Amino acid sequence: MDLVASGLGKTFGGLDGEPSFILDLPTLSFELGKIVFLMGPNGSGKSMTLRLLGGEMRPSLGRVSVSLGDRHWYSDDRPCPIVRQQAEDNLALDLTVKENLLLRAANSTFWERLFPTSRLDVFVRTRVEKHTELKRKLNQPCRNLSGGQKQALAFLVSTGQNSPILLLDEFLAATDQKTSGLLRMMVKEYVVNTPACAIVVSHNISEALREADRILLLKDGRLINDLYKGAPDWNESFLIEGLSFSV
Amino acid sequence: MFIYKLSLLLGEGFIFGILAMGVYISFQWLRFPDLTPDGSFVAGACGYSLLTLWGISPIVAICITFIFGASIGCVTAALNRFIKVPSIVAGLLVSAAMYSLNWLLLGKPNQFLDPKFTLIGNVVGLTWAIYLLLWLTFIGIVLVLFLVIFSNTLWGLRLRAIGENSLLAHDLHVSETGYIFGGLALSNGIVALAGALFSQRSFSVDINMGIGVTITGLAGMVLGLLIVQGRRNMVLVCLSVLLGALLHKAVIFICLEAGVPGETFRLLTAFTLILVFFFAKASTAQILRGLRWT
Repeated sequence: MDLVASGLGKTFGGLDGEPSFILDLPTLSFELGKIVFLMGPNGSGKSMTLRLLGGEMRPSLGRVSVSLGDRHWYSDDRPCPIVRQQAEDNLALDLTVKENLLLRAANSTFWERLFPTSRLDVFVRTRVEKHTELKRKLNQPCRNLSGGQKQALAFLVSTGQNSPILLLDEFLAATDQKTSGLLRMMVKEYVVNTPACAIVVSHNISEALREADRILLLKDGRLINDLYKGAPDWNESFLIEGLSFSV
Repeated sequence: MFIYKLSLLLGEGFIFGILAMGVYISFQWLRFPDLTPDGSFVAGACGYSLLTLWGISPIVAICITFIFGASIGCVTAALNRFIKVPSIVAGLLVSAAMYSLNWLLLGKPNQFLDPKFTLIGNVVGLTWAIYLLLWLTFIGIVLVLFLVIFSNTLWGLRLRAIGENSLLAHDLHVSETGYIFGGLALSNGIVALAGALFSQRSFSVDINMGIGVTITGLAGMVLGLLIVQGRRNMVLVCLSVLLGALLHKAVIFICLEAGVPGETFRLLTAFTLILVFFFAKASTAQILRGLRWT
């Protein structure tokens, strides 16, 4: 598989016709089974890149194409799930945990669509198997979950769609040590088992060096570095320098 | 006499309960502050009286009325989604336009509905009131069953999810516009159905009968949702929305029986709602939170 983002660009107009922000990326390609970290200071266009890749926003320039085996599609035709920074944005808070999981169940038949609760119980149970707290609160509205539990659920529902691309936007921000450890492991498993490519936005340098196979550094809407694991610059001091705010 | 009045009250309560369920769909599932019911309620009544005058049987006429109401809901949805009219304004526009359209349809400001054109037929007195109540109970049960089953299908779940969080439309690969159309069509179809039933209770259609209908439905819905106190069982929720509307009508009925002048009934509606808002601030704020205003 290849996810190719061919020269993505997006311009936002400011006052007096002067563009307030320009995102201008070279052509990038991503492979299956890899975890890519997207890093950069605030306002460098990380989240926007993610939204363009996921097809939530249309680029002014370029297009995102996905090829999987002999299937090809553009991400604006078939968007892929994004786990957004605000966990609430990924969930319907008035629906129960179970209903949120059912919403994203992939490949269901007509009868399963008509009575999703009856047949897909197994699907729901296997998804929350490892997460005891969510398992206990299966029939409670998501509004009653804590911030970390919402984050965990947001990740779980998004992986339910078995999309070959998983976009994660600082999704570990509100989780405790144990949950974030669990989720990190689940990202790795998902990437290998589906197989999929995970693109993660993060500010955590040590996490990036530990988990990522590739790190993209962005600054002011431009790609300033594209590092692969094992490259000579794959170290903390280089990343800290790259992420520093001084221009 | 008491039984006759009680069955009249229950009948009216059920009609407004059905209306409240329509309002509940737009306000709670879709989170769309829809004011179209002011127009679609009368449209239901006008449509029904015209169809029966043309010789169509009452049951078929009621079904067509539902479709008529649904199409009015679609107009509001189209205004909101395609030309970006804010939700409240779209509803106001359509209900204002419907006022004239109903008048044009009817050809005169009001119309007597012959008892032989109603579901019950030419019966009078207590028998009539009880037959009406039986019909309304039947329709109410069918509607509650439908909503309970629908709300738990994948499409129902999506409707409720997208209504609350429009970002989910992207993640679920479905069209938000489509679901707003569907939700408003369902909601206004039910409202038009309530209008058709109301005209059979009052044996008349009046183009002014829609004024303040949305707020009546809203009062029923808010009362109903206060009764369930955030419980999740859809059967309970639907039934208590029905019950809420019934309670609201009962309050007004008792006031009128106690000698409050008849002209004040909308004032009473407003007062009931203000009292509810006053005494249950936190809960009502919860119920009406996160409505989509654009």
